[in-house]
Amino acid sequence: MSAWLRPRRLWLPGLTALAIAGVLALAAFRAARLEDNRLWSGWTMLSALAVLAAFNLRKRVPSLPVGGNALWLGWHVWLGLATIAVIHIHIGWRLPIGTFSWLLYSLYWSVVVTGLVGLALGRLLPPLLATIGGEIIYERIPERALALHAEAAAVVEDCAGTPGAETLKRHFVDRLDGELATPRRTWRLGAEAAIAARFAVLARAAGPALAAPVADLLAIVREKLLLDRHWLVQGVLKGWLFVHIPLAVLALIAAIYHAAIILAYHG
Amino acid sequence: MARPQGNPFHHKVSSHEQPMQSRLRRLRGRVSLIAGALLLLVLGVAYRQGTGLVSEGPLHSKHAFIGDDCAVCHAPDDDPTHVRLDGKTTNCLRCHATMNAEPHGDRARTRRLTTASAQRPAQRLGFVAWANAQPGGRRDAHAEIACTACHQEHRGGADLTAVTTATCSACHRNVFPSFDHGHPELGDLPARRPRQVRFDHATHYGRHFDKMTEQFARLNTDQRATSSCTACHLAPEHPEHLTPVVKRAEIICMTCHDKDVPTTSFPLLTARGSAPSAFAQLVEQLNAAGRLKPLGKDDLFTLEGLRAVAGADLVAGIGSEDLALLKADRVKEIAQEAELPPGQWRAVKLADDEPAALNYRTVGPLHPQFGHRDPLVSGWLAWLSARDTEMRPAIAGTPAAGPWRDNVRRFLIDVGAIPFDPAKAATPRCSKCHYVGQESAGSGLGDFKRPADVPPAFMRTFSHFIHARSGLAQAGKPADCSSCHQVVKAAFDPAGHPLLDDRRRRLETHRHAGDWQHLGVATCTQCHRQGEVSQACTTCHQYHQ
Repeated sequence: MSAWLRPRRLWLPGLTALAIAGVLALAAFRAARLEDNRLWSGWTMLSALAVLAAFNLRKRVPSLPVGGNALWLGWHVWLGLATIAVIHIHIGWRLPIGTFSWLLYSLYWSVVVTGLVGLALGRLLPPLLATIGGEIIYERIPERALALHAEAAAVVEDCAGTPGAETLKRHFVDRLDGELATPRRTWRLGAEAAIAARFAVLARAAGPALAAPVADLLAIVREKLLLDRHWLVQGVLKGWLFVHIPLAVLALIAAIYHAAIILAYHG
Repeated sequence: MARPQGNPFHHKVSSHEQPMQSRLRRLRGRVSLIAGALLLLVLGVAYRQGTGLVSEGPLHSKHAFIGDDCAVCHAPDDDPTHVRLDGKTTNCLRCHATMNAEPHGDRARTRRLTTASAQRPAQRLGFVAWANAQPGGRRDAHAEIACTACHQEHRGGADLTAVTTATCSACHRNVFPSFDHGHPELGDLPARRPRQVRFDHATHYGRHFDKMTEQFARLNTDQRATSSCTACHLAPEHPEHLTPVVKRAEIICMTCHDKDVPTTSFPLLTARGSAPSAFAQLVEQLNAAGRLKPLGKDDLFTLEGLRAVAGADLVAGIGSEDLALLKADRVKEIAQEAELPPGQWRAVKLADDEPAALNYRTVGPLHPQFGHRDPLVSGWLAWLSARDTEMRPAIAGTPAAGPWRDNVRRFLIDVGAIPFDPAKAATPRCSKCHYVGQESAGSGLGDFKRPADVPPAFMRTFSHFIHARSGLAQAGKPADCSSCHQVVKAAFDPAGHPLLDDRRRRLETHRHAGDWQHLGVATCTQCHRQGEVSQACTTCHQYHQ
């Protein structure tokens, strides 16, 4: 049985489908009686947005005994999808017309789309990270890059006085100093072979006496390549949240503003 | 320097490094905060500049005068007369009633449905609630439905009156899936409404019209006219509608009936047994003595009235037939009003010792200006009809009612509108085609009038043109009236007709001896069915017209 078909994975989408069917039936029933669907669907939508936003707070306080992150993520995703039905009930299954309505609608869909993109990235990129190899915290990458640079500099410095050291030093100044200084968001497809070829040439130029330091520098450059790939992939994994979360905050503020206007003129 | 194996980064993830991730969160938080603050700033400034930004959408052009001032309709207070955003209460009638724009076209109904709760303006719009209060209503009888339930504003130029079938069926109790499944049978189609002329298609269409093809073709200058039906039934003022209104009715009818409207003379002024000079002398005497006072209209037909104004001594020798003398005053007056063509008057002097008379000659069936409607007779009848309509209710049940009816009848006989003896119908004159006299006894002479110039309301929502030109062709049917309409010669039985009141039943007995076959839902559903032509309620039911 596929992992996606296991009962423990089906109850959330099942519940969501039931909820969507329920609100659609309620809306249809009320519409058939010429009763207004905008008010209850609006409050439902606002409540759902609040619950969705609470996921971010939940992540800030992982010690809260309100379920694990995985459960919250599940709720976040499926409730977010359910809001697509609710918002369209709210606006009457048509496109908005007013300026603010368009703003709110656009913000909502921006949040939905970035959320779905993030969901897809969360599924696709971790396997890619595994293929890169290694494990490092994103925030440690710049620090590690600096350490690699210092380590390479030390290797070159330790070779001073050895025949061929000048060649090694010139290579460090010309290539490695800039290459190792900072992490780069780049994959550099096929770079492994190019690096190996480059260091083979360097080893011949430096001579047999410097074979070990050249091998150390090769290891450092290879590690930096992996580091750059982690920097790229983890940057994307974390970067989409820089779009999703601010948009979600804007959508929530706009929705609250919208509700305030309704309340003000509610009478 | 040997590099360790395992993690290539020489780095182990430890729990004490987790707080470092919060730097990213803080950064995201700051970005969100700044963006949110900017949004609030923009919204706040925009709101102070005007509420156009937060409007759900532009108003319909008819409400555009309201501008961006939401509070004109949506007041942030407890005033129940304002339209609230929850749509539960409305006060559209606050403007629409005073602007004489009745919301649903039927002023009487709107008034009836709104008057009961007029003291509670918020609940004035009660027509749907009224409908629901009927037995079998789908909603709580006290439920209130706002105008906005059907009419959505803030949608720019979108039609405010456009509603869906689902909207209609929300209240209408006869709920059915679609027009071709369960629609109630059509009650009275083609509508059998009272006519002003004795005409039935069964007699004319099958017996006479077939022989008149050439004559009709000559009369027919309209390019759209393609059949013997359209020779008569295409009103120029409503070119998209093939209506019951007959165009050039007089010409059409007089093509055959010219002999029924003969040019004839009848006496207007007579003095039986008087020489013309003596007759003129009598009139002069009356005038000179100031005895010929202006007559009230009631005095025209009774000797009592005549005696009252002219004096019993002068009237003593005048018989009832001499009442024409007094009618003459009115005749002259009417003739002047109607700009009676010269030459129609003729003084008749047979001999010095024979009665003198002032005769009037009718203009004939096809006068270039008046058609067959003689201005004098028409004016006379119009005046009498109005007077009769006024008098009958006033004197109903009194001793005066009988004499009045007799006088009207006598007058109609005088002008030849009805035969003297109803049993002798050989010379019916006006009553050959028009319903007058005893047949309209229930309603006075109000029925004696020319056919309507405009199509009835029910026809304005139905376009024969569309059916003839495109719909029928698409359906593979001949673009001919006979696709839907079939003449039937069976007598129409008004007794069981649900749409006729007693008076109309009485009249219909005479007026629809034979006519069109009743059109049922089955006729319409030949085309208006699932997957073909629209079945929406508003295809036929246009509530706002």
